[in-house]
Amino acid sequence: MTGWMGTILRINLSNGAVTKEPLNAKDAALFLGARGLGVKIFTDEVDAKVEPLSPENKLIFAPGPFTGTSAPSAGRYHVVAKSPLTHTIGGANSGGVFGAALKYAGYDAVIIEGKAEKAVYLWIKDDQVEIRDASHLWGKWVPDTTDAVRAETDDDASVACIGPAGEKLALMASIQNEMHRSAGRGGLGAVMGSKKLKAIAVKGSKPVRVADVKALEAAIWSARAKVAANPVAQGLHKHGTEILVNILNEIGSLPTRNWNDAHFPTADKVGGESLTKEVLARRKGCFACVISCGRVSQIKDPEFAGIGEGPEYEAGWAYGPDCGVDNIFAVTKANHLCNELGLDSISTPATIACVIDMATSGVLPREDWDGLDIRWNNPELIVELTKRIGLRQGLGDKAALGSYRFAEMYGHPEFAMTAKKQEMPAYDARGIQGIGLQYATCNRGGCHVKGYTIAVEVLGNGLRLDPRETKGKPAIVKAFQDMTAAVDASGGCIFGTFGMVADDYAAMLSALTGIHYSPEDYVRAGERVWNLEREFNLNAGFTAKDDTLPERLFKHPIQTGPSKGLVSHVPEMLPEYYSVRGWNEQGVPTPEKLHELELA
Amino acid sequence: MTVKYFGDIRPLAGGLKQEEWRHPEPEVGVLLGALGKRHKPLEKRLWEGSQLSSTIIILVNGRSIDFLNGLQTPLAPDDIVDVFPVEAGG
Amino acid sequence: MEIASAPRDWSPARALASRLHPKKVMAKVLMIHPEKCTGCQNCMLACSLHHEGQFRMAASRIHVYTWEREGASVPMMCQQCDTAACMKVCPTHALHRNPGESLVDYEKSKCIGCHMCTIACPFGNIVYDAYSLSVLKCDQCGGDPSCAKACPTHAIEWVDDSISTRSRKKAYASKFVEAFQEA
Repeated sequence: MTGWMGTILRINLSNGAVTKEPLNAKDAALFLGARGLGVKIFTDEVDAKVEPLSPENKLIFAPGPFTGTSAPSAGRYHVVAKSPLTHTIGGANSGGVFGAALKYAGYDAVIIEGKAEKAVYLWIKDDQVEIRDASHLWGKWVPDTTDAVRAETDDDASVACIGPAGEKLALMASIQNEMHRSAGRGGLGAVMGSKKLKAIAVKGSKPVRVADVKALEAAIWSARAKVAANPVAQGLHKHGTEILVNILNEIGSLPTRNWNDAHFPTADKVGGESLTKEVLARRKGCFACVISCGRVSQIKDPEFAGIGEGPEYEAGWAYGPDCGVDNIFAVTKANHLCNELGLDSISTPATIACVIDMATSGVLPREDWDGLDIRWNNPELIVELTKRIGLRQGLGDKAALGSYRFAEMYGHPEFAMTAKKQEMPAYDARGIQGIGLQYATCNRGGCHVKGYTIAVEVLGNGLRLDPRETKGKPAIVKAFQDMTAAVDASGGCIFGTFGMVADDYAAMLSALTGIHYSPEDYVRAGERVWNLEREFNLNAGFTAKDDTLPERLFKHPIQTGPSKGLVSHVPEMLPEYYSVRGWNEQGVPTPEKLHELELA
Repeated sequence: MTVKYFGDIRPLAGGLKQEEWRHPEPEVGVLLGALGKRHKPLEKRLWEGSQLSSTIIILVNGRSIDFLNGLQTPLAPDDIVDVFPVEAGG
Repeated sequence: MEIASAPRDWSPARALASRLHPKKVMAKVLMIHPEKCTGCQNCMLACSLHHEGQFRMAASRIHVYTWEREGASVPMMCQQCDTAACMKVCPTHALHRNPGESLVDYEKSKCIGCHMCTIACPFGNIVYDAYSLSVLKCDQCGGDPSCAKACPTHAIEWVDDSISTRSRKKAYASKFVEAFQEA
């Protein structure tokens, strides 16, 4: 086999069984790998009504066919499980080196089943797989865990692990690899914690083979030239993702103070330009990346001193304008803490913003404030509350359940800015209609990255669409969702799509695997994955009623700034979205659509 | 009117984040021409021949000129004009 | 900071240079700029693909080391030392230098696999690879190094070994200019 390694590793933590199975070639061809293969295996093996933190949930780590090759910016892996935060199918994507390490060790997927009696970690070195005691590691933060595991296994091993947050089942706990890279959304770190799995160390020496080296090289160089010429990709390299703060603010769609508004006058202080000037130390890149959007950030301000990676735009937004904070040092420090504790850097600060909103609106009783000074624009608060959430201490214990359950506990779920109970990211759906539809229909809940219409609604990458328009947006949202799913399934980073198009990915995949993929085949693989995820969610009990946004976005217009007065029109776009998707009026994939996608 | 600069545009405008433009210009194209004369490095960045560079976004009061009237978008004395390079987030 | 695009072809320039100065060919070196390294490992992937037609990290003659806490990465490959320790200890001259070249060359047919070179190299830039039953060290890809072409940030450059390309020296010299202006 070329591209794929041909083996799936299955580890049962309840009985210690380690088995290796051949990769199903038909599944690989149809679902590619990573998100696609992970979702296929998961939906085949796990009941949709499974309790996410029970031993019956499974945790699948899967790299893609591109992972471990020099396909540009395509060295990623995906984690799949049922999300304890949303109860939808959960999938989180991460870069770093871990995905490539899994390929070199010889695996297209690692399936973790059951639950260990006591804390364990896995050491995977090529064919050799050990389940080792991790009781001495339990409680360690992510950096110390990574160092300790390497010291006991191999200095060059790639380590994916959870921090205290995952151990304590915080519903926005992440899985971190290479310390700073994050499979963040959906609380999959809590699934790992519920299995008492502290870390996975991987090292491999096997080759990823290529069907047609000459064709692959030609396709890669052609693709690289496109990425090198793309201004968005180049901007990402120079300034990282934080550059977006200012443009979102200038169009008046930067959600501010828990979406009470969408314009933040001092946004520039936490924008990419300020990041570059005040805290940027070096640029960093994931495996095989040609963009290197990663920021190594170092804070010299003694109050918030430290070094780490980030903040990315969503984290910078959530700790910044969403909490009313404009202190770049505090924002950067809080983001570092998320990586160190193993927390999703969108859901955590967005939950903090909800807490602040509830406190300042009088619905969070003072005796529950845990001695904290809860108000907007408090830089110390965002750092301290992050710590308490990661360690589930004091107010952090309840907040660790995420903003929806927290707000619901106090009888006010309307304060939670979530879609399917996952905190929405940094683009105001009242000012930008397409991204609102993406939030409402995304299979893993409030998420931007699985259908990043911002590229054409705000960034002007190629096509320029009016963010305020609803016309034509359903088809655009579907196109982004399908293409992203294909890129995810092949192991790519979506930033590669600033430059590369389906033709490029299809050419590389064909040369690598020896299977001919047309650009349409490639995108259809993505559509296939999307529909399979949708089916799972429907079986889990979701309906069209759940394809929606918080009331605030329909009833409470933006208050100030250039987008003043706007609201979201998602409900008007849904019927057309179901129609272009080939679903019925209840948002259920029709038999014809499933047949077309070879799902039935 | 106020002109604001962002990202890589700032160094091209002599490092300015923003400036007050006291010369009322009738429309965007004319304003950009005048800005280019004031800041030479900016002039090269703004234009691809006689067209506005495809790697530039111009906002007038928060709206992209792509959805107003392009370079012919009229300007009022208290307008805010933003000059953005095409870049990204995530 | 530019991102490299199409591969550069240095061979015509070299060929011309060697014709003009037959006795003194301008040596080329792989210059490393660790401060530009992002840890992406594209160099390793390119090296492996070039030498073996597949992606195998241990086949790479170049290695990138990353320190996660400090956020720093450094690529390391054979520096083709003028007085190469590996050449000195090689009992069969499998490691040798051809006249007029900067490259420390490896003739596999002469190699007895004694591993002495791997012990002698103070940098660890030469290793023995069990998979290919061979000593591995940078061979400059026959004059067109794949790693330099692949590096997106120019952290590795294939340049003439002359003082003008020692850009770091000039960059530091410019700090004096700043200091003079402040005085």
